[in-house]
Amino acid sequence: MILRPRKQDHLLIGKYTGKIVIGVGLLMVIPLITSIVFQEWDTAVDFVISMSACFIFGFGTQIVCRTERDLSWSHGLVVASGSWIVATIIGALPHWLSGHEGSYLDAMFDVMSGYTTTGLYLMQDLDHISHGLNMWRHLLTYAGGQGIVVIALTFLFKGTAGAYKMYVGEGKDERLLPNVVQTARAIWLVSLTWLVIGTAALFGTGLLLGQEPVRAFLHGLWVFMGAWSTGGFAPQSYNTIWFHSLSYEVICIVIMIAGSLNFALHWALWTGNRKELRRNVETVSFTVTLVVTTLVATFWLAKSGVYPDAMSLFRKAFYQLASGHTTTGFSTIYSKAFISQWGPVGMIATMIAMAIGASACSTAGGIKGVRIGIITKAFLQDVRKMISPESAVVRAKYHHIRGILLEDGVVRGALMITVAYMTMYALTAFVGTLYGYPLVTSMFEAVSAGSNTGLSCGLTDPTMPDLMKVLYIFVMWLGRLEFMSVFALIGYGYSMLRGR
Amino acid sequence: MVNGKHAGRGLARPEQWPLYGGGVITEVLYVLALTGAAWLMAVVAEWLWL
Repeated sequence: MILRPRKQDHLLIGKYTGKIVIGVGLLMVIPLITSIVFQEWDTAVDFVISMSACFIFGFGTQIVCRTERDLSWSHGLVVASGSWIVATIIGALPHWLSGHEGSYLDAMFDVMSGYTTTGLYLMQDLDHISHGLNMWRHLLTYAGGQGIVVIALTFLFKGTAGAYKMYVGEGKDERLLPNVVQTARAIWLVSLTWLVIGTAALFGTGLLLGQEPVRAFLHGLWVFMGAWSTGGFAPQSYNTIWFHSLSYEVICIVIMIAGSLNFALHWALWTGNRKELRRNVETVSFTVTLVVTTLVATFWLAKSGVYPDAMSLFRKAFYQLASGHTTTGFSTIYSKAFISQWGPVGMIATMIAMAIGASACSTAGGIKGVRIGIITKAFLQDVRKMISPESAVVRAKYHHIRGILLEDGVVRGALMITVAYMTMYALTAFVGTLYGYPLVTSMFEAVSAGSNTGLSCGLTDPTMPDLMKVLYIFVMWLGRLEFMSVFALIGYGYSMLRGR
Repeated sequence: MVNGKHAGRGLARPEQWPLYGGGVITEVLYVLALTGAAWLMAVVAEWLWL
């Protein structure tokens, strides 16, 4: 029997969702200040309106939804997934008010793409948007990389047991420190330290490339945010090819890959446990799959004679594969050139890299290296069982911060999420083909959206059908939250209708 | 001190200060090693086909 949620449940969910929306409103202070500094008064007004909407909703729910209860698991999951939808609807206001979006749906698409660190966009005339709006786009993706629940946990919550349940609902399950609020702050500490280092490196390179200081700083900051969050937003419509610089590309690769590492791994390395890098199942899995996919793409492109020398091969192939595998979405290849020059083998290698993705509890999306590692180990364990004597007990372990016994429950969990991702990729690609797009193109774009990568072969644009936009918004959200909390929200809605 | 360990809260513990153990440097070196491997692949591919 399914229990119908009671008024107290609604109040609890409303209260915590409101707190998260207040967090989004507070985040808008930064683009507001940016637009005031650059005297972009129209943009400043847009942000004042949007902040007001956030605060009216957020503080309104604090008044209406008064309750002292703590969150249960189902509440935590529902708040985590539901708040992403509410934050997308309200967070789209600055985009829509700017006049650079074709419709409110397009604005919501761009905001969900930002929060989920996907990087696909429908914004028009990107090269001429205000600094304030550009700051908001990149801040969305930077904050979304850590998680909007993590933002709220950092500033607006006490360390309750319920807070941990929301944190898990957002697709993260690592406790860097015993307390979940301290964990959220540690995540920010890692991200902010890298922000300083990465922005400084890109700023310096921008100056050497001849950019004026203010532009070099803003571009450095925004490109860092796009790279670290594995989001893929860039201030120019030509993405990172706009810079035409090897050093800029190498710095981006360093930031992308660092951003795609598990925060627990960062913490282990930062606290002196350097051996973790070569022992961790995720880094081993990521290294192997990145090397193999790069090898396939490089050799295929060389054999096809697309690029004239080793330097061009290296710059194009590795950048594209590292960007795809970390689910960033930065590109130095035009989408039409990608289809015509890379061909099916190059596109499939990139697609496999995107589908796998990078680390769990990082800013990245996709199936995740830890699941690929677990499934591979389970497969090898079964082979060992088959060739061992019947009486032999074959046990396997994998290493993630500590040695963990490979139990059936762990393998089942990894397989279940992997199958869910594969099904999502396939169904989304199927809808694309129903609309008449070529199979490889619609598969590529489906994997890109579902794994929160953002590489595009040209399918995503403002003229695409509205249903495809809604579907991509849904799969970006589903992929980022890793299914369970979205299913919990759907189940909550169902129980409201059919429960007793 | 609790059980012989520093009892400071979370981030206040000395071994948890950022950059302890050269964490960022280790991460950068790891990525540069991957980049070097990709460069080698490109050189071999050029030698074989270009």
